[in-house]
Amino acid sequence: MVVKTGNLTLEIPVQITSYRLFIDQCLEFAIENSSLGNDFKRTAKFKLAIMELLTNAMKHCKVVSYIDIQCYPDKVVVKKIDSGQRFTFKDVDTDQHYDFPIDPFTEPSKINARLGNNYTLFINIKTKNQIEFLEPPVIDYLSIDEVPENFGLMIIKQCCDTFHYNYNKVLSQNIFEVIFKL
Amino acid sequence: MNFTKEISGDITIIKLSLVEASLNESDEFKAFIYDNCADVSPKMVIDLNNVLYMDSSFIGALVAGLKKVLSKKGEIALANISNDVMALFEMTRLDKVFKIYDNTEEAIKSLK
Repeated sequence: MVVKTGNLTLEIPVQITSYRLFIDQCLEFAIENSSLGNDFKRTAKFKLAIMELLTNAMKHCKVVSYIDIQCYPDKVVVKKIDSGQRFTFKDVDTDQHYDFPIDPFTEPSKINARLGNNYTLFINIKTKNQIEFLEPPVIDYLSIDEVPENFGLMIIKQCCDTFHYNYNKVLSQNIFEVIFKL
Repeated sequence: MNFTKEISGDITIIKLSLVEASLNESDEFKAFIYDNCADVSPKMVIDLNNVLYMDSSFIGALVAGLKKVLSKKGEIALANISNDVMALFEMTRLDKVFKIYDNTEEAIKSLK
């Protein structure tokens, strides 16, 4: 664990035995260093987002990964950082496969991205190394066959104000960045 | 045991002893549901009374279980969901997919 003023970095174990301990540590830090704790609903969403970032790390990374929390007067920034497999997706409409860095990148564009079976999310491709997850539309499933079995990124997006994936080519790092505005 | 079952008539009541229902248990739980789907038209009540934390992997296991049960013309009802877990169901719109009841008695009654 690394603690600086307004900054906390925690290594995510490959196998988490207690989510609660990890989540409480993150929450305690955020409450001590920001006004996040003033809003009960906000803290509940913060906890949910941390839980999903931890699950994401255990499910997909298979390498050492970190949670980094930075507190500012106007926001709390949570990053999940790892050097595992890059995030990839397909365009629902064109079936085009995207990997990072996105090449060729021409201009920012919004697409409906397929992330798995029945699992889609709208994203904004901002640069060749950055996408933003957008607010999912309200869905009423018409049949059980339409219901996805993965929800992690969708949940994170709904818990926070902005949610980005950044690929750092130099360090070969995946960075999921979750921002809670205060 | 993370999950136990009781039989009440033609209904299987599954109780989770977990406080955290997560990726660590999701595969095991999915297999548990599948193992209890041998009957024609299986009816299950899943009691989530102890669960304070649930992640998307466990929700995915619940959805997979529901798909399996519905494919056999059965039914699943969920009971005793905490407020935080309910928020997760609402976010994922699964509150419109699952039958959700305040307690196991109501859930059992709905399947009779």
